[in-house]
Amino acid sequence: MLATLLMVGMGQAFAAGHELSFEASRIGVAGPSWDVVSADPGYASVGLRGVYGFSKNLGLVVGWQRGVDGSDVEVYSADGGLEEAEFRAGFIGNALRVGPKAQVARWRWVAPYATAQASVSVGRVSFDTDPDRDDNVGQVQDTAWSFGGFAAAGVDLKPVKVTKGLRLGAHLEAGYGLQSAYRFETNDGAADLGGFGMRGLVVSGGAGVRF
Amino acid sequence: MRLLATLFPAVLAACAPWERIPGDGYADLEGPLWDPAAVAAADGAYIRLPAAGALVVARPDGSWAPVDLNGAAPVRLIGTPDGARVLAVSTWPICALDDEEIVLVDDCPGEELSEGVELNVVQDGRVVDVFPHRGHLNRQTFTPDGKTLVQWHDGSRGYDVAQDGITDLTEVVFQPLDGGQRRAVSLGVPTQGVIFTQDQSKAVVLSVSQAVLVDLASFEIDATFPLVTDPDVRIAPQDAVLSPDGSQVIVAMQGRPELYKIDLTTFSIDIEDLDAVPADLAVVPDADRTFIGYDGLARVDVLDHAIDELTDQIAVDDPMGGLLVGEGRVVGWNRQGGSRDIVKLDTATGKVTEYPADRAVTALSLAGGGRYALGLLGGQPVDLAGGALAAGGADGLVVVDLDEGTRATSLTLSSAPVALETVSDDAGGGFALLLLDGVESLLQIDLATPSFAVEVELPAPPVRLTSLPDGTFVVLHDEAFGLVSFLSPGATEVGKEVASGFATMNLLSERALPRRGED
Repeated sequence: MLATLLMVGMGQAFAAGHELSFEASRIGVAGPSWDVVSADPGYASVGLRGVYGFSKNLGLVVGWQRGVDGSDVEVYSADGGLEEAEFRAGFIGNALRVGPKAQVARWRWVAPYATAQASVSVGRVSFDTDPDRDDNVGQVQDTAWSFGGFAAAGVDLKPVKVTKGLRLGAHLEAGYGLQSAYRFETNDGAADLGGFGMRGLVVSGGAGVRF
Repeated sequence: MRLLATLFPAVLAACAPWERIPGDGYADLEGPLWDPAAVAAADGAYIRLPAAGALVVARPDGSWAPVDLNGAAPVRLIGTPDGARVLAVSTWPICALDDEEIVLVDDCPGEELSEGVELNVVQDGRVVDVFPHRGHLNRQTFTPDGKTLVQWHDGSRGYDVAQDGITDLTEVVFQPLDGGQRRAVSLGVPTQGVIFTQDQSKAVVLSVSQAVLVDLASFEIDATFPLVTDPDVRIAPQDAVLSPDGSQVIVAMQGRPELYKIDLTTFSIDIEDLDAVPADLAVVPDADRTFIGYDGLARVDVLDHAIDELTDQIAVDDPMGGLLVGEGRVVGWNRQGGSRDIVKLDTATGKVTEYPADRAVTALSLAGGGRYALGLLGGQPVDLAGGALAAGGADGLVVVDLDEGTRATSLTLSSAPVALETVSDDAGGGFALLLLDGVESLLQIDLATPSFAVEVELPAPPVRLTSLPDGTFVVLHDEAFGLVSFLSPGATEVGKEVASGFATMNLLSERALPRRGED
């Protein structure tokens, strides 16, 4: 889609304004405990990004991201013997991102920008011995908050005009993100489950409308 | 159309596909997450979480709580005789490198990592005392007052914890639980068992080919009794009892048709020849006698301590290698599973009463304060000492009212028993809780009316049973994240409050090196 937009959008001019995009994002996760809930060493999410343009070069980004990860976990005896149990572990995260976006140049095909966004995230981790049932005894889940942010450099690709005042555009950015660790507890708060934190390279990309 | 427009969002919301967790990945964990071999104490069932390296207590009100062992992980639990405390043999990782960058256990190079070992005394969900411990001490008993833990190494079992350096495998360690100095006595030969004098002032340590009398005040060896004259001959004690007046230790040896009478006052040994190898000894203080059962001889012999002689030979139909002592009676059974008879010997009159079951008795215990004999029938012998039983093919249960019953009540079970737990009430009654292989419910039997077993429905299949000191049954279930329910004797359903999910504790945690900077 990005390639299509790039091809179609050649020759169109950049313009200041607002944006609403579908966005996919990925960030690294610190700690091997993440391995329990995901085979992916990173955390991928999708969501929406809106930009309110204050001027030709400055806008405010407000985004929402949601990610779902899950793994089937097998528990083996310590001596490497038989499988003793199996359950599904999962994580659902929702994050709200807010921060400025400043365009630093306007070239022929791309417009580089920098952004720094604060994020507040709520994550729910769950363990379920029978994911196909809702009433089984073996269900443990908890919700926790995480706070952080990221700084990134990106480019807006030259938008494609659709109608008067409405154009299609795309963006791609990369940077470094850091979030406080989620700290989860067991069902009744009797003990810690543990947790993990998002940290590392952030890569995001998306496409949407400019108006 | 309008209906569809209304229903579609409702169905979508009910199914909540955005809440579904996909099983996209695969992970494995080194377990087990929890060990159902719980140890019951007054406040609840104490349970190890091997994967998390933690200890939790599950309480009858359905709550549970972790026990703070200061970063140590329990490897074995021991209940004290009074049921008030639980002793946890625990280890913690030690990294020899004093580097601030090393925070997690995994950060420390393997060659720099070792383990400390200690004994935590846990009461009411918290550690009340900590004692040093040695990893080779894998067997224990308590002094009769329950105040001193006595430990030794049993060569037939592995170490709890790998030992570095020099280890004396022949030492017996006495650890006072209410304070006092820990003392060790080195015997030079492996210990087989320990019994105590009535006044608890001395311990008799039975070892291969010798017995040693240890003074529990000075921890000096008062006397050593060689059990053989030829040092090349090795004989091992099989069973031992203390005579009612405390002056003698009566010892049966493995494979020898003899009875060793060790006199603790004259420091002498008298050997009594028998007609067969004794299998079990039962001392009856009221009668001042010790009953001797055999696996290979259909007879029970009686040692009269008043005259220090074998006096009676009680003929029975089958060998009675298993003897249990009740009030005014000894109950015998063929522990090799070759007899249907449960035999009651009146210790005052010598009267023999036989209660034949409908199949061979493979295990027997007393319940209800000794009023009831409870046995397993058929199949191969299984352990009746509570907890998990090997499913050995037994598929029957027999109950005998030894006070008033005239016959045994034999019950046929639908499958092999996996666990059996009994509790007694103050009125001399009792209940048995029976877990059968492949059956997801429990059978509760009022021993006064054994024919009317009650099926108890459970929230999940059970795997193990135990009981609290107050008589409440504890049911441990086959549930990955841990599930414990509680059943009052006589109740037909478990309490609604269950302790669950405790095995997920620290599931997302990396183990940090504890006790950094401590001496």
